[in-house]
Amino acid sequence: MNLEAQLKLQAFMDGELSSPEGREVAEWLAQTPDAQALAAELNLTRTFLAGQELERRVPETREFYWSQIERRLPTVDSPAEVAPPFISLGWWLRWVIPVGAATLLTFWLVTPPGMDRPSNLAFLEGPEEIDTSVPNTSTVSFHAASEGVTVVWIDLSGLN
Amino acid sequence: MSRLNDISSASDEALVNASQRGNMIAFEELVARHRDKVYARAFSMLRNEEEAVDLSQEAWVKAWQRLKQFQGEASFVTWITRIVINLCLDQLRKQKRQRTESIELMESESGGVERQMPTVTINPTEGLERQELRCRIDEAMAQLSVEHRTVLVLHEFEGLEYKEIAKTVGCSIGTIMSRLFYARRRMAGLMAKYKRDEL
Repeated sequence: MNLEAQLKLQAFMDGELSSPEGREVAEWLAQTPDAQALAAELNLTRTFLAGQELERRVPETREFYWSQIERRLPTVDSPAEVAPPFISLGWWLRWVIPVGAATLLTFWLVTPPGMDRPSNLAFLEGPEEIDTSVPNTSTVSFHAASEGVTVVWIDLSGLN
Repeated sequence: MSRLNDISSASDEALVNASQRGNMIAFEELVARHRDKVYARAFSMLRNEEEAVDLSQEAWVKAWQRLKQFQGEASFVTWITRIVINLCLDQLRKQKRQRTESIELMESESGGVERQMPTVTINPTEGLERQELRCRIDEAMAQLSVEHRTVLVLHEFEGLEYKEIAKTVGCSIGTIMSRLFYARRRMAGLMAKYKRDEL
């Protein structure tokens, strides 16, 4: 029996042949004692291997095994939508600086007069007038905290 | 994210859904459930404990990365097992490039002693307890060449068809058929030898 016939017999036993080919091999098998002996051996091997794989357990504890996997996970993408890094320069520039500035401004607007404030923010105290000293011009500003409005008059008549 | 009230009793499907949404606790449960199976497959192909642990862990990392691609056509266990098989095949290819063409390697396709080996007529598994049989099969598997062992694992343990094995391994169907044939004959011979030694 040549290799081609042996492989065909194996394919027949594995159910890999089409119906016409299978019938042909079955007839040949029925008439050939050598083929029957080989078929019996192949069948024996298939039978004792089926479902007889030795069970093996990971030689590490659940916690240790997982910790080694987990350690590799943060470096790869999560299957879920990845949130942007909580602290990054862009994040600070986009959100923290404007929000901080707005908070500071609000703080000074609501702080009652009489409390200590930096002198360069004194214009926020009001309502009162603030004079400027630009040559040949005069500017007057008025801030009404209750209305949340600041009005600035610029008198340019001195420039003419 | 769907709530998993009792994670240990949740189905694989529910755990996969939660993991796909980024729930790492659900993913850890999947690892705990199937780690032995994934490790065992890696070991059966590589026959090296350290490499098997490492590659099985790598398979879980890849599974996490590719979870969104898992659509549930096959079971999760089948899917993760395919991942570890592919990693093992890559590893074996690397090792093959490093070793010289051995006589054993050449004989994988053309057949070595198996070509002249008489047909095994005794039942080598007769009288063996289940665990004893499994240990003996494992011992015989360790004696096979990498090529023979790989096709045997994929066909007998994973239940893949010839064309699927050919595609996975990257060989022609003819090569797979001859490797499988000689692998089976060698297994039969080894099992018969163990039986004779016992008598």
